[in-house]
Amino acid sequence: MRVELRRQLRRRRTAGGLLGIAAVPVLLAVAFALAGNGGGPGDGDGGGGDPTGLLFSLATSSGPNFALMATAATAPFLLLAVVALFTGDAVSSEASWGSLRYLLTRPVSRRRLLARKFAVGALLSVLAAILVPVSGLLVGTLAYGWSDVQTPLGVLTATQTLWRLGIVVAYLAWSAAWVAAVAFAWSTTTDSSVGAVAGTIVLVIVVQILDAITALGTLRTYLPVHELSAWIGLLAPTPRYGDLTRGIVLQVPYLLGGLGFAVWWFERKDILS
Amino acid sequence: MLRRWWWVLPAAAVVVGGLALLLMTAGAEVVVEPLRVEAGSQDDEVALDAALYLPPGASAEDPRPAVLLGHGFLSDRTAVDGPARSLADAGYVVLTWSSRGFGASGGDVAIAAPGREITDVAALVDLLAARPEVRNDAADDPRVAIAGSSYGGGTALLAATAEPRLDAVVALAAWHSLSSALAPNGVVDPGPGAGAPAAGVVKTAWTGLLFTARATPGLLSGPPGGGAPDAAADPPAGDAGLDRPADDEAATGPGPGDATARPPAGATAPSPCGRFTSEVCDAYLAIATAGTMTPEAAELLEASSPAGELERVTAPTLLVQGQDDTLFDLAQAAANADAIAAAGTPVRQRWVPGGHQQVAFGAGSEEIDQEVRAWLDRWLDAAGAGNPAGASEAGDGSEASASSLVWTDAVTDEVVDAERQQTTGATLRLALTPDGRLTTGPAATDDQGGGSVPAARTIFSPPGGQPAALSTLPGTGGLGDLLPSADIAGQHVAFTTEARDEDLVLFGAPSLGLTLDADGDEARVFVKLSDLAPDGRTRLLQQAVTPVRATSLPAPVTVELPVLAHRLRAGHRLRLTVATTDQAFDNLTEPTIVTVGLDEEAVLTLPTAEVTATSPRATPILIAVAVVLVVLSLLGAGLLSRRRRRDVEPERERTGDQEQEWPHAGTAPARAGADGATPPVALSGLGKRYPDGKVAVDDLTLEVGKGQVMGLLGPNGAGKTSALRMLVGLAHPTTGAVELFGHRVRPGHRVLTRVGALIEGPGFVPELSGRENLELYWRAGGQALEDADLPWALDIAALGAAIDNPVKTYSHGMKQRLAIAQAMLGRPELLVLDEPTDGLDPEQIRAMRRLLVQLGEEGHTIVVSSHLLAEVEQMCTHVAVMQSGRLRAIGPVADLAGTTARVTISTDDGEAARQLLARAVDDGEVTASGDTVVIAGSEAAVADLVELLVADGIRIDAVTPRGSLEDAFLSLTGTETGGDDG
Repeated sequence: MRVELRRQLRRRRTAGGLLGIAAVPVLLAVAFALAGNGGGPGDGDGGGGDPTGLLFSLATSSGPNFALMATAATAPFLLLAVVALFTGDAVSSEASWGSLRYLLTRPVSRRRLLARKFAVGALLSVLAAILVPVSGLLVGTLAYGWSDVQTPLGVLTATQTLWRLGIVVAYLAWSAAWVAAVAFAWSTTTDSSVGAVAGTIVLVIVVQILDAITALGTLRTYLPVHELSAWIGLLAPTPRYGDLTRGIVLQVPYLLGGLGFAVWWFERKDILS
Repeated sequence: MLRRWWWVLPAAAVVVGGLALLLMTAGAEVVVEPLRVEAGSQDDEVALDAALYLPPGASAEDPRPAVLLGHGFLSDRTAVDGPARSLADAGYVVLTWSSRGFGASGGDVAIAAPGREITDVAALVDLLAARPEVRNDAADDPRVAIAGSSYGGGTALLAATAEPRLDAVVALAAWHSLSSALAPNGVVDPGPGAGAPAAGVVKTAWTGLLFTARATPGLLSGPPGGGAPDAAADPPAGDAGLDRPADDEAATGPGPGDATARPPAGATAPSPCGRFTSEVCDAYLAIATAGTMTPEAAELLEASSPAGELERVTAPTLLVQGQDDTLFDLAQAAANADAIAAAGTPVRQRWVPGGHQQVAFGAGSEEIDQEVRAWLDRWLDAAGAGNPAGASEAGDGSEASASSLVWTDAVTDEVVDAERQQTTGATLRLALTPDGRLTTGPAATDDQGGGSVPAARTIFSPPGGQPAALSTLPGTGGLGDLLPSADIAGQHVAFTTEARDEDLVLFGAPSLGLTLDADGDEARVFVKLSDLAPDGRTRLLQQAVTPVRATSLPAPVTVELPVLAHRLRAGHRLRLTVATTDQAFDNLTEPTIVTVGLDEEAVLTLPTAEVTATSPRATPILIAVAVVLVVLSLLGAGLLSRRRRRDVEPERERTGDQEQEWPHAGTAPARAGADGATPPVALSGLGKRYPDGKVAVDDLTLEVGKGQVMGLLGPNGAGKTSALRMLVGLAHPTTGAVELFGHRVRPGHRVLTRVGALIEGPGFVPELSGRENLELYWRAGGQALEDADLPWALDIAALGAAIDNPVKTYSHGMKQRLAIAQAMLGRPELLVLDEPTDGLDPEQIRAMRRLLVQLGEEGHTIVVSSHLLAEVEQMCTHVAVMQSGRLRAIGPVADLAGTTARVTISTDDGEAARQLLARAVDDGEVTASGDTVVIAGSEAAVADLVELLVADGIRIDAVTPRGSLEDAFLSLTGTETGGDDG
């Protein structure tokens, strides 16, 4: 397992991906500084509909606020894209280099190989998820100081926010589970890691679009991204868990389905690459 | 072989399922029957355009309940075609009709007048009673419900007050009192001595829209007077909005004389009234010009309103209302519900987010459709539901429909059951202060100490009523958020609360006390409540604007504001705005100065509610279950992989010691080799067929003994690589089996610790160095680095210092050598090498050859595949020849090469040599081509042949020894050599 970790960590794209996502809060800070103190891109709250837009306007009020905003900014897409990158690359990059067949001649079952690769991919994804708020906190505290946090649902103390943020990160990381599973399953079927990663990202976008179409009615509630913004409920003075639990459980079938497919396919596959 | 069946079963299931689905739905069509219904009273006959939707399977033997489905004010029965079909699909007989004055029906619009449109409903019910497909409760009493939205909803309610045969009512976005809906005045108490509240202010935006939309189409599309077979006998049906007041008013004995007096249909003169009756037309013109409700108009509108009649409703009623409906607001529905409930009839209210247009049949809202369907199913379909009036709601056990009020919290998207989840909260009293605040503290005047003249604010009503504030647009409802809050400076005052810490649910009708004064005849202001978000965005609560009109001034009025159902989020503020103009209403044209007095009576009273979230107890349980599931699955995965790891451990001790006896403890060999020990490689009946049909390997059976260097020979495409892939578990054989050291090979089998492989070229992680690649490769097998014998392998690679450079800087030859080194890691007992010398220079090839031979002598078993015959001849002890996936020959090199026994000699005189040798050699044959003589199939020693030729003076240039593998190979694979002539 450590072996696999080393194998992956040394790659340029790993470092690139992690650094990139950690740099996003820095970029945002610069953007806010340049935009002046007018409260940022006010994609405001249309009467109680979308509080994440609100976070943007509150971003400059304190460090933890900034971290919250950075998390909200990266959660819907960027984080998922990075997760797709780390997990979708795992198997198909080995196939494209030709080293997959050698790994498979080792006395290690294919399933175990997959498990290791997925575990490392997942670990890196979690790392990426953690990096965003951490970096956001650092940058935000430097820029805006450390004080109480004003959220769309109330006011929290800074330390309270830290705890909540921890749970939020865990939830967001878990909410990316379906992306990891899909990307991983895709990467077992193809030699081209670009194909797997890009394909998964396109799928993420499509699912997000579908989620926005209200005409789909209750069908939307089964889409894996539907509860993606449920973590906002944690920002209330008394945290609201309702949608959160649904979001947690919602990932399970996709995760199991994706991984199940990957294992089933990979075991039966003739390695020709 | 098993794999093939995977596809068949699911595919078959899908096909069968699809066919079944098709069969089930085929023939299950809704039958639509257009009808023309004669209705109206004796002197006011009307032909209505209707359509009957029959569900599949309905017949006299299987009668169904029926639903009368009305339409809205801006359309006719064709607009509800879709919903009618879906109701019919659900099993109901549906009758849609175009109301008088709409679509292809005759008559004029009297706005659900009791003697006209409502009586028409009775005719429709009669029609249904006569149909055999409709279930009857009693003779001439069908089981029928009436449903409709907006105009249809009001019609439905009014019909329910007049027609006792109706068994259920569904009214969407309906009204209670048309006069108060179209021209409201929020004042409930105009102050002492003022008498009754002043007449209401007309909602000019809505009324204008409804009236003109109805009036204009009437001009263009009259009823098909010419097409109706009984046109001659039915003159009013031919009416198309002509000079109305004269001939229509009498509506009496329209004899044929009158008919001929009318111009034929189509040649109509325009009229501002369209297809409205003259009474309606006059009433509208009156209120449109006055801007306020007139008593005559009020009387007409009240006749068309359910208010006051609802105690006669016995059919269970479902009322659905939009929370942002600006035409008929929530108070209308609430008033209807209260009156019906007071009569003891079951009633249910469902408030949904959205405006007037969003609450309709076929508007696309799934919750409304479900509500309606559930209501109809319950009260129409339930066999033996008996007398609907007085049936207890709780009795039938479905709690969902038992609640009398369910609304949607548009902020949290939560559906709130007002009976179960809601309790009355504290009433907030907020005082209006002169500095524009709404405070819970003491009234503003207390702060002023001196107790002098109470504070007031002045606002101005502009001449002509323009510019007017824009708050709502008819029909946009929930889209009102898009409108900017455009209040005109100087025309309004606003009072705002502080931001709250926690959410607050406002539920009920607020009341406001104000003192109004003006310098004209009347004070007219418009009151709004808005939700102010922290970022400045405002949302008008329920999209409601309440006009307040007082004529006896100064007026200390009490105003009742529209019913609220809104969650004020933490951090949001509430704003009360009093303005002199509003674009949706009639505005004063005289410039007026209005004074809003803020004495201690200036108080806004807000009813609040406590709403409990749905089943909070379930939440921790769900979390626990989810966490447990996740942990369990992780554990399971961990356990699985751990078991595998343990299997690998014992193998480690095996490597590095070639003298070790196989098999090791715990496994029994599947078969014994020729020398009694298990052969390192045993293929039996191995076959590989790719999904595209290509057969790569066909029935391959061979054994490789310990210490042998087996060369796998064959032309390209012979199946060598496929065989080798199957050897190490990369590909799955379709037939047969591979056994290594007696163990049947599966991917990742532990016997692979004793195998090193090089298949189809090198494969490395480009960014890592050569050394790292080897180390990681070895450790990926779960073995310790010390067992790898890395220095020895690196020696073989002979890369020198380059071993620590990234692999992407290597040349192909370097990578090849590294790959060979990788295969040699751990000194495996079995080496499987696919074209190992590819890309190497001759010296390296020679070194490789020597190494392999040496390894073979040390007891390692090696399987090499190549198409370079000379190479194989030099390094291998045994050879297996493959072609087209089949094994052609197998055996020691010497034996195989020796079979052809062909000697080729190049001379300077081929013919002479041939003759000479032909005489000398008695076994085999001698042929010549050009200067080359070929002696085939002879046992004669080469040396003797040469001596013979030299003695005869023939010069010899070259001799190709006997036993050439090349010849053997070529003859085996059936290809001609260059030496033969055709």
